[in-house]
Amino acid sequence: MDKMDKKMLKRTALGGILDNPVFVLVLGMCPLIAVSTSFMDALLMGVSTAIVLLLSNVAISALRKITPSAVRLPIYLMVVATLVTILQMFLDKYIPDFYASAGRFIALIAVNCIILARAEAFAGKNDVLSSLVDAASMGLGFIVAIAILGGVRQLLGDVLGISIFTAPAGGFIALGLLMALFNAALFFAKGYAARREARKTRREARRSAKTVKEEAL
Amino acid sequence: MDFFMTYIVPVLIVLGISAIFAFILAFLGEKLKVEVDPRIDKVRAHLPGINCGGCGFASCDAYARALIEGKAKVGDCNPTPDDDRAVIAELLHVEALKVQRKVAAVYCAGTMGEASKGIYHGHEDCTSENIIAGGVSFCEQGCLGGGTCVQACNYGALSMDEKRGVPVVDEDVCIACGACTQACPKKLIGLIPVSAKAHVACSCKSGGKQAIEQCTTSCSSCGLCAKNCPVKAIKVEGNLARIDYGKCNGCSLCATKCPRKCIVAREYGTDNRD
Repeated sequence: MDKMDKKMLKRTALGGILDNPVFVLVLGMCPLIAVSTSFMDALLMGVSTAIVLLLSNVAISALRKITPSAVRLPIYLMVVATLVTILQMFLDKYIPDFYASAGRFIALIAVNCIILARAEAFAGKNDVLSSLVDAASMGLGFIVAIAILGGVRQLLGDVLGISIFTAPAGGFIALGLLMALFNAALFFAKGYAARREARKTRREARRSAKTVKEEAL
Repeated sequence: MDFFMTYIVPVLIVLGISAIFAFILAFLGEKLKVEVDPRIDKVRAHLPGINCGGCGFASCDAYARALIEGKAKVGDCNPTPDDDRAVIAELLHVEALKVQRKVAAVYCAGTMGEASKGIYHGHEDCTSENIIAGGVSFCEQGCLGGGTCVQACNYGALSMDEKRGVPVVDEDVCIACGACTQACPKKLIGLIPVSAKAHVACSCKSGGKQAIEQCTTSCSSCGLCAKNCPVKAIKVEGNLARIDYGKCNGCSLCATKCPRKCIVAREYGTDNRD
């Protein structure tokens, strides 16, 4: 049972890669395209979303025992909206420049698909620790994805002067290219992992067969 | 008991959670309050609040902030009435400048009925028509009559004069936000003081014989207006007469002297806000 739990936790921790919210699940496109024209803004947006995701997953998971399933969505939304409002207050106070440029997208974190998807699919059903791991993994996955997208768009658009990449259309083009790259890498990595797993099972099977034979002798 | 569990408990839970969250937010809102210059709200209250964008800022809020930060001048907003302007100037501790109310004026008397290169069948929009060889009229500077300016006006101050094919400004409604001046691909609309007694309704830069052949109401750059102006407020530059409203004394002699009738005496001449 303990081993099973460990395996589940490991799978959850890898969720950020295997179910990457941007490259695999394709969630939360609005802030992703809107606030990824520069690396710094993209990074801050990613971190903001990840913080809300982390706290909301923990809160929703902690509240799951007292949340009646009929009213769970209003409660999830309330939790997320509260966290986003708090985040807005902090940003307005401490990073006013970023808040002035990306403020409206910060408010939209409240209805970000990634956060609601994790609340509905994971945090509402699992214990606090797994939800924390899930949010951390998914959050990191989102931060890395949006930061890479921001970096690529800034490099191609501002530094190399290919102006389409600063426009939303170029954002989608860059996202598509990155998505293809990521999924190709994921495909090969999965194949490699599967082959290694198969070798391990074969070896174990051979070893157990050998022991059976020796015992028989 | 079943009734209680099914209907009352969820209500209580949602109420309880929202009450806790509301308290947290109210508490943090007070703790993390960002100090804003209280003058911004006061200045904002005296702006028209129509977000026309004529001042060059995105909204009246942004303009109010720019005023406080010293990035904009009190006179940059055309629609603000003079008494509000005085209040704002007092708040900012600057001298209130009495700014003449302005209105839009069209620098073309219409090219409809003049000789044209062909017939335009495309999208009914001046910007589109202008892309194709600068429109169908032989006059490169003239009004295309597509009504892009009429659509750009958010206040219904412009309408098309179908006979002449040029927009007409309703000066009672115009707030001089400048949206039409931006929209016109030929840059035929400008802002002039509402008290102006004459304006040059032509933008033709050809001059002389070509101007006369192209259009019946074009400025031929003869210079009669400049010669006759008692205060030397008119100059013919680039084959086109232009009135300097800073010098103009409002005699409208130029309108009577212009042989091409492209200087128009204005009927509406008083600032209706004074």
